[in-house]
Amino acid sequence: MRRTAPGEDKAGWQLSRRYNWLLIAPAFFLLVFFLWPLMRVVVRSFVDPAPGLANYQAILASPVYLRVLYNTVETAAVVTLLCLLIGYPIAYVMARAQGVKLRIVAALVVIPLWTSVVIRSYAWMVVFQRRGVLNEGIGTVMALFGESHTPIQFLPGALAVHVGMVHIMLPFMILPLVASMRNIDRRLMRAAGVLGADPIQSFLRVFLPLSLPGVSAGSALVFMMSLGFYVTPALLGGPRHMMSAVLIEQQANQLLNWGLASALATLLLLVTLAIYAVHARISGVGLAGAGGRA
Amino acid sequence: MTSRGADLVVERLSKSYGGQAALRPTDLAIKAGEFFSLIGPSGSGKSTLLGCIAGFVTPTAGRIAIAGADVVDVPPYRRNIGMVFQNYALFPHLSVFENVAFPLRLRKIGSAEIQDRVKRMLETVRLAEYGDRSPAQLSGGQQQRVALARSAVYDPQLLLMDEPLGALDKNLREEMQYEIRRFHANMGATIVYVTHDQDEAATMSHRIGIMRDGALVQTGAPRELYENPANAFVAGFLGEANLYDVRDLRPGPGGALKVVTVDGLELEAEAGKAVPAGSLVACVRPEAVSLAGTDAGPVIAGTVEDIIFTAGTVRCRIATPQGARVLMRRPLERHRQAVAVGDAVKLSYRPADILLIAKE
Ligand SMILES: Nc1ncnc2c1ncn2[C@@H]1O[C@H](COP(=O)(O)OP(=O)(O)OP(=O)(O)O)[C@@H](O)[C@H]1O
Ligand SMILES: [Mg+2]
Repeated sequence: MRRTAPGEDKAGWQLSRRYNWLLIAPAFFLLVFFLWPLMRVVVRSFVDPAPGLANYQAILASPVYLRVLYNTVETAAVVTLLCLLIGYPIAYVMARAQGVKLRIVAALVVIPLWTSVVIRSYAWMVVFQRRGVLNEGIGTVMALFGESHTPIQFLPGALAVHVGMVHIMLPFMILPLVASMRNIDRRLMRAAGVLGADPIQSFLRVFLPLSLPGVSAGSALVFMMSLGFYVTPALLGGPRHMMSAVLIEQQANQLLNWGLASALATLLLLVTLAIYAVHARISGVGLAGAGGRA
Repeated sequence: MTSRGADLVVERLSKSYGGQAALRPTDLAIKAGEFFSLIGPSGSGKSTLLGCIAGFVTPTAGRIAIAGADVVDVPPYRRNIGMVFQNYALFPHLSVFENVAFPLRLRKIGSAEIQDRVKRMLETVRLAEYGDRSPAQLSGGQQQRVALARSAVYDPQLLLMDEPLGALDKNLREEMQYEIRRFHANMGATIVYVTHDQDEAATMSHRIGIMRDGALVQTGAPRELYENPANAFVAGFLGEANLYDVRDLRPGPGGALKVVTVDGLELEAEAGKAVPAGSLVACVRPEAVSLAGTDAGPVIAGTVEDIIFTAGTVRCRIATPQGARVLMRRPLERHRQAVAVGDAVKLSYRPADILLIAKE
């Protein structure tokens, strides 16, 4: 949607072409430690145990595997949507805040990032288990009304996985949103007001469209991270709500079925690349651009 | 398309930010269809006054009436005012066409009519071909014209412009000044125009208001302000002026008034004119002094210190023996007598051109 004028200052930090050779080291690093293993996974999916498409045929022929893939994409989509709905208002407040208020909100958003994902997932187990905080709480309220409460079985289950993942992914939605909202010139809202837009119209016609690069960046980030997420679904999801990462781990480490695991990983990679392509289209960043730039 | 302008009345309007007065209690009445300019140094409260009228600055006290209706409690989006912002404030995510259509879409106007009106407005500002571009693909002057089109497409009765030409180069400025005047003539809207540039204000407006430190110092027609500045600030701000602090006034020869300045200059002024109370300043416009041909009238003697040629005019700075400086300005073609730096000269003037005005 956004077009860039020839003269527009595109990047604040741009090395002169003379220093391009400086990029050799990081490029080498990427090649050896990132692209090479990735390539090996992709190749392996076609050659292990025998050359051909057998691994992919096995996946497509198995309702269980398809179910897991579908679960993965669905969970990622639900988590992304929930993060967006919860994160947008928080980012809106954060983007407007100044000084102490900004620091407090920013700390609240960022501090959870410092806590291990494993610990946070166990914390949700404490909340959701049979005699956990949630069930006890509901029981107490029900008791007030003279009703008895048979503890609800949250674990393992989709609800717990969604809540746990949203909790972990939220900062990754909020931060790109804030970055793009901070780039919006507030004087545009003022102009919209004078031109006749009430606050809701100003938001819908000016602010929201201008924050779309952030929406796109945050959603793409959360969706991609959710696709490959392991810990939370493993702890809270159980076999009925299995996600791809858990399945891949089983295939590779427990069943030593490396070919099938590689094929599953390659499929996830394809979905990820597709999502990135959509994001790149929306926000106009090429492969060279940083994801969060508005 | 000719909407009659609305009249604007501002009474005791003031705005302070945490005890700091950005606008001191101000009164102002602008007639329907008038082109009124506000000028003043940076930080003098021009944008604050405009913001109060537009509604996005909430005044601390006072009243604003547009076309007779009190608007202080009316939110900006219901005031139906047009505004061109200092930074244009075009919507970067919308095309030029959609930028101009924006206020019309909010007013629930049919799409056929929107097409029609936007097209006509873009033709008026000579951007008919540019409807599909994004604002980032336009030059400063073109963006400016889009902002102008957007502010006027819904025929507001009152149009506010905050330094709309501030970022443009001289040629483009002059072209746009002409365009805005033409615009005003066609639309008939009342315009309040903020500028830093006194020449711009003088060419464009019926009346000018001069602001300083959050207060409106003087309002009047450009010529009125030039010929009868209320104080030394106005005299110095609007056009060039030789300003001298007055030490003493005495009766002079032939019933004239002798003015003795702090730096020792002695000038003859017309007697019998009302003189303001308090500290006085003698104001002499640079075009009111000339090289004396004969010794007919009063003269100032001195040495030429500096000569500056600019397009069509010559400025000479003369130093008197007492150490005062006098600036003289002549059209180039009249500057026949070749003077050189260091020449001793006599400057003549008419006593009527010595203005005695208040210092503050
Ligand atoms: N939001 C604000 N908070 C605090 N002070 C402000 C605010 N807006 C303006 N001021 C102060 O009010 C005074 C008048 O500002 P204003 O913007 O009206 O000046 P101006 O005449 O438009 O100046 P310029 O010619 O530079 O645009 C200034 O001293 C400014 O610092
Ligand atoms: Mg201003």
